[in-house]
Amino acid sequence: MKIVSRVLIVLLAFGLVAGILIAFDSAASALAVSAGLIDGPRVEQSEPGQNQEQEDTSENETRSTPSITYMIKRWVLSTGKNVFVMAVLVVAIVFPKSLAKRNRKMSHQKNLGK
Amino acid sequence: MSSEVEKGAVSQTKSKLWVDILIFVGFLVTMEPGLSRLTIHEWLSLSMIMGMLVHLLINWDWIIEITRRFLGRLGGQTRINYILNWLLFIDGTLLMVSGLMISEVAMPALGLKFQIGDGWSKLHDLSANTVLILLGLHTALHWNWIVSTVMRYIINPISRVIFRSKQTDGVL
Repeated sequence: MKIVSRVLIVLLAFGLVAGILIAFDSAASALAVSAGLIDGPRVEQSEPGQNQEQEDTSENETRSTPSITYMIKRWVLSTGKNVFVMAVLVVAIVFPKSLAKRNRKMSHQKNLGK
Repeated sequence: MSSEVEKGAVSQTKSKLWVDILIFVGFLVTMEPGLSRLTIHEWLSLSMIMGMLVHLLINWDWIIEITRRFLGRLGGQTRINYILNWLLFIDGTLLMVSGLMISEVAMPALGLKFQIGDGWSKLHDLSANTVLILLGLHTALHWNWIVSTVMRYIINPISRVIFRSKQTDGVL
């Protein structure tokens, strides 16, 4: 029961943030349409099957299957980039903090020595 | 009685560690939709809601405690940590909602397709980059816990096993 109520609280908070975001988006886009900054949503009608055919041909033209080694290389590189960004932040915060802690410890020991 | 409490704390710390590792790995995979393929990207991102839910439930007592004490006396780092966690939650929600809006696989499979503009896609990219930075800061603020827990529950047991097997090899 306790866990269910906690899950509901988290989902409620999630829903609240999501609702605010969607409401903000709807209001902003309605405002932009009424001010003539952007066009309103268009409903395109086409023959059934025509659209599919177009999609299929464009897919064949643009999609080429890259090799597995190329995919792995790219995945390692881009994941490495993400890890690197996080590592830089970790070092930028943890290193000065531990340095300050060590300095504090040393000055405390000096004071005790006196 | 105290050993039971101790055992409970140990198992909670262990499960916390494994949930966090799973979330981290899942995050790294989902951050590259072009490579993990859109289907994996979308379904894995949706399943990460469960991971985040478990993470929040495990840390529930801390959240409640700091929420109560937030306006009173509280350490600077704890306060920053709390604000950062809220930012991470809000940004994670933005990431999830914008992802659902631009979904091409998961939402249509569930029978939902939204008429959306270009803005959601841009918001998705922006919130993903912000989550990366916030997650870096979150990791930095919990670095001591991460190092000590990984040492205690992963590195030390492995090195103990290796040391023991070396010893038995020496005896034989």
